[in-house]
Amino acid sequence: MAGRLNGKVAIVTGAASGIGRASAELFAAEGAKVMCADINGALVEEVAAGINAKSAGAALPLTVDVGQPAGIERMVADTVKAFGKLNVLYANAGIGDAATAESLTIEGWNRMIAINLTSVWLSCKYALPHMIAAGGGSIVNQSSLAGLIGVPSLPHYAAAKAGVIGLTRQIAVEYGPKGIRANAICPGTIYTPLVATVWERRGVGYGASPGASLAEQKKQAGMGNPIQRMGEVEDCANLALFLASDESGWITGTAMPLDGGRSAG
Amino acid sequence: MAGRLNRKVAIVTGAGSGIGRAAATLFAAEGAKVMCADLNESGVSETVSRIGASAIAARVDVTVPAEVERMVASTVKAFGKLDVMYANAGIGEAGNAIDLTFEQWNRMIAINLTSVWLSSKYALPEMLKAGGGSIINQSSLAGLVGIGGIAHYSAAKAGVIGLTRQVAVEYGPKKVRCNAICPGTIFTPLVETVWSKGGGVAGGGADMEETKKRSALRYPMGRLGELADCANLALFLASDESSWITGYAVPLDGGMSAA
Amino acid sequence: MARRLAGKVAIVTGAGSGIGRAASELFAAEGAKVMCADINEAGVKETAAKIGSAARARKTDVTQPDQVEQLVAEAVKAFGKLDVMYANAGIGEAGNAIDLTIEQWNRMIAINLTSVWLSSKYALPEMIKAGGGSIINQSSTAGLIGIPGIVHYSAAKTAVVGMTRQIAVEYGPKKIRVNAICPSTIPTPLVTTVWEMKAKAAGTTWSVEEHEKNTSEKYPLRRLGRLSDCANLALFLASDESSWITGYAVPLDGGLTAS
Repeated sequence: MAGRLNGKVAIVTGAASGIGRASAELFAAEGAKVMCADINGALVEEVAAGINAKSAGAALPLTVDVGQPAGIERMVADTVKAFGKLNVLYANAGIGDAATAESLTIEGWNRMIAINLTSVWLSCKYALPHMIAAGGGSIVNQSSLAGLIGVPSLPHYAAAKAGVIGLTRQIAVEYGPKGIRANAICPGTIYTPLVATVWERRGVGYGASPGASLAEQKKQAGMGNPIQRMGEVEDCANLALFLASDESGWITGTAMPLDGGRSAG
Repeated sequence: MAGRLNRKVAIVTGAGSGIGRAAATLFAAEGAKVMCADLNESGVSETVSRIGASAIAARVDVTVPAEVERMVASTVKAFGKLDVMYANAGIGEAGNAIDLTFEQWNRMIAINLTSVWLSSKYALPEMLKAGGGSIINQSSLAGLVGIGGIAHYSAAKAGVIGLTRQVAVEYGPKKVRCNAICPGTIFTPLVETVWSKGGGVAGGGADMEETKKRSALRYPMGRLGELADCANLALFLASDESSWITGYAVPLDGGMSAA
Repeated sequence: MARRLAGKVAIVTGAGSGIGRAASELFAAEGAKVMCADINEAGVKETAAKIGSAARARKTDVTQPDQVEQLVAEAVKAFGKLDVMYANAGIGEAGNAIDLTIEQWNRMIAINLTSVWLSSKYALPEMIKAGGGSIINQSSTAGLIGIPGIVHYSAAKTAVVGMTRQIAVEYGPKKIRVNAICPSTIPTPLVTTVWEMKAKAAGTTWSVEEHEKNTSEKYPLRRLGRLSDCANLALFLASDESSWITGYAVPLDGGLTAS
């Protein structure tokens, strides 16, 4: 086994599906013990079972609502109790939504901030002491292309995701001397269940014509970047792995675009 | 063997020492065939003799179009194709905007910027033939933020970033990716040269140990960079693991540019 | 009247037309004395004539160190000091990374990058004497993001950004500010000439208005830039109103790079 995360303990939130699931599976395949956390308990149990079928004892499932501080504190405590330490946090859990700055309600705003920004800070808050105790660690926070540039219909999402970048840089600068790295991933559009939900609510995919088939919608959504394809969950898992591992030991405080070059042009 | 670059063919310029040698060695360890190019012939021969049969050496002045063209042609002749170009060759030199001479300026631009474009110019047609590829251009923290004492270096390294984005946007549809690495201080022979003449974030100076310590403290991570840091990032960018990442200038700087 | 540059002395390069002329006129209207420089002698003489006694004209090839040195010396001789340098002179040219020739590359670097450094090199000592100053370097949207078809232009314009930051960091303590302006498309004679050439080559008819209409869609503000947009920004950066802003590359692009 390649073992790029040999001996490491990781938490992946939002691990029941999409990017989180792909990342949890990849981390485990590379030798990590992984706490798979998600609000969807049944689904995340399946993911953990699938991982354990390949590497016995590598994964533990946990039902967590990252909108609740108590749940996050318990998630970290349970991980350290089960696996002895904490080296990697992939704060990936998040929601999507569609609204304009005018149509957005205060409830919609608060919910987005709580889940996509506050929960990221809370995950770091409880993870940091354990990482410091372990002599170092790697925090990977899920931001978004929408945290880097303006994208239609997502004012609250943009605010939260840009906030994640600011939070990430700040933690990187403050805790770097303690051996803690913090980086953000800024994916463009990756076709995941979350994105499917957003497209459904909008009525159509990004950049697509109404009435187009799903395949056509995906193709059209992919045309907006130089590489001319949508992202895949593996793209994100690979980057998260690199940032989680010691190979990126001098990379911290970055907000890495994972977007087929969209933000470069 | 891990094989993250299995069956890939790479060119690494500046492979005679430091970062280039470390990257070439790692690429070969991960399954690539590697053309190691450098102005320093004995250095690059040493790199190749350490790596073994997966590597060949060439003496190349990357500022000369015909030599860059020949380097690419030799690589394709020896290994059949080209997948990865790591345009790493470059120089360091201290100099502020006022005291720089016209000759110093032009030399820096030629070696640290023009040569990077030439590497792309000749690599691209081969990558287009191969159905895709990954170009990695060596920029610097100085390409992202202002640092005292290196005016021409900063201009060249920032220029590399602009070149990188432009090539990424233009050739992305042809599946060629182009990214830049922006290292902070990795203590290599090149850096030692610049510091002994007074450049760098800590202002350089005669006491090298003191300068190193002072410099390390300015990084949130509290340490200078190591060759492996850069080689690992270059490997990631060269491999298919990063196949949706293009046009990015990756800070490799212990958090310096985040502060 | 506002007199936002009252008592200041400015040099504007590329003042023979377009942005340079508009900026020279605005600086003078706000109380500055302006040395107008351009390789186009007739154009720059006309700019100075339009302005009147507050302006001088000088034919200058900004790629030549001695000519830039003399330009600064003459401005100081005529007006007593130097406070503002707007290094605006530059050219546009299309070219992709593969087909570009080394001659095209070198010419673009000389005119759009090296000349900007030379403008700083000779302006800085005078500004230090004057106890401070403001340098404004013309970059471009292409200095911030990748755009197809202009590889050498992008490299040069991005390098200007890097150098801007570097000089800002180094000379900030001497109260010298250095910023860059990154405009997107402003229909200047330089730009409309290119549009005209392309339309002729394609055998189509065109007008500035129609071209504007077609290309405005991608801008959040739904319009192209105007000369006054750039002149106003240059004025702001030249004046003391921006005295805590330095080292920044200001996008002047109707929101293009934010989207």
